[in-house]
Amino acid sequence: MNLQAPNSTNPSSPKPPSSGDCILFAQAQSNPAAQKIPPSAMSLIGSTIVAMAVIGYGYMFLTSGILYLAAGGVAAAGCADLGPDLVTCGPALMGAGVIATGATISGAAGVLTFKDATLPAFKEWGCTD
Amino acid sequence: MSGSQVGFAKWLLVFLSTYALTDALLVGLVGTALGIAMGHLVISFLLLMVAGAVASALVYWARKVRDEPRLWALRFAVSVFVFFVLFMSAVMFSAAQDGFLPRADLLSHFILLVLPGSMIGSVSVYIVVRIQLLSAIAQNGAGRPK
Repeated sequence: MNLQAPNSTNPSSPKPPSSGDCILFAQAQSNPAAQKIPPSAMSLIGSTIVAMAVIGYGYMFLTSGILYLAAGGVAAAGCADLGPDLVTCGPALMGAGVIATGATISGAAGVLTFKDATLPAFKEWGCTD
Repeated sequence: MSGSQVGFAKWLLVFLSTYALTDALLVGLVGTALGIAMGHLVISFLLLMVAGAVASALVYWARKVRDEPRLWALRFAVSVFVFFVLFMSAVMFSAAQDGFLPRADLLSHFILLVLPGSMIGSVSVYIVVRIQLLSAIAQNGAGRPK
């Protein structure tokens, strides 16, 4: 992150920001309108990014978990029945595996999506490389 | 056919043949849809068969204690957990081999998704089997759960 230092010859230039605000500070150097963003709004934006990430990851893991629950149910229904289950057990386990694959793909897609959406925002916010 | 008192060879034969049929169907459909080379499909088929073979032995081991609901449910949950882990390992290895999944992401996805997911699945199995067996015992009046 290229952080432009405040102009030391000009006492009226803004003071250096805390680490979390450096992108907004850098933007404020070139955009006078951005200088009017209050610190509370910056914190709000940061909190929103964190909340989005938590909700997003939580939702994807929940969806994935429910599918894994269903996969277990299919396996149990096919193999653990007290009735004629000798023929059904193999296909039931295969079906459970397919549902588990769907669960993993769903979870992985969610993780990748939210990683792509939130990590850049985190990096900008925290001025990390 | 009741599966409670069959020999291991018969169980293995029936399980693996039905499992192999569905395995071939699944791999064939996915391979056709995604245009995967035949060589890669055969490797995927064999990897999934290994998962099935291990699962068949474990499920047979679990079925030997069907008159003890708690133990049977526990053993079956362990069997399904091992099956899910092996099955998903085979699927992820195949996906990486065919270029659908970056190899660098394999371990993180496995630890983040497959292991917790398999645990959730096996807990689900445990609960379903316990409920099934307890209700069956209650209906038949054939003893009490231990």
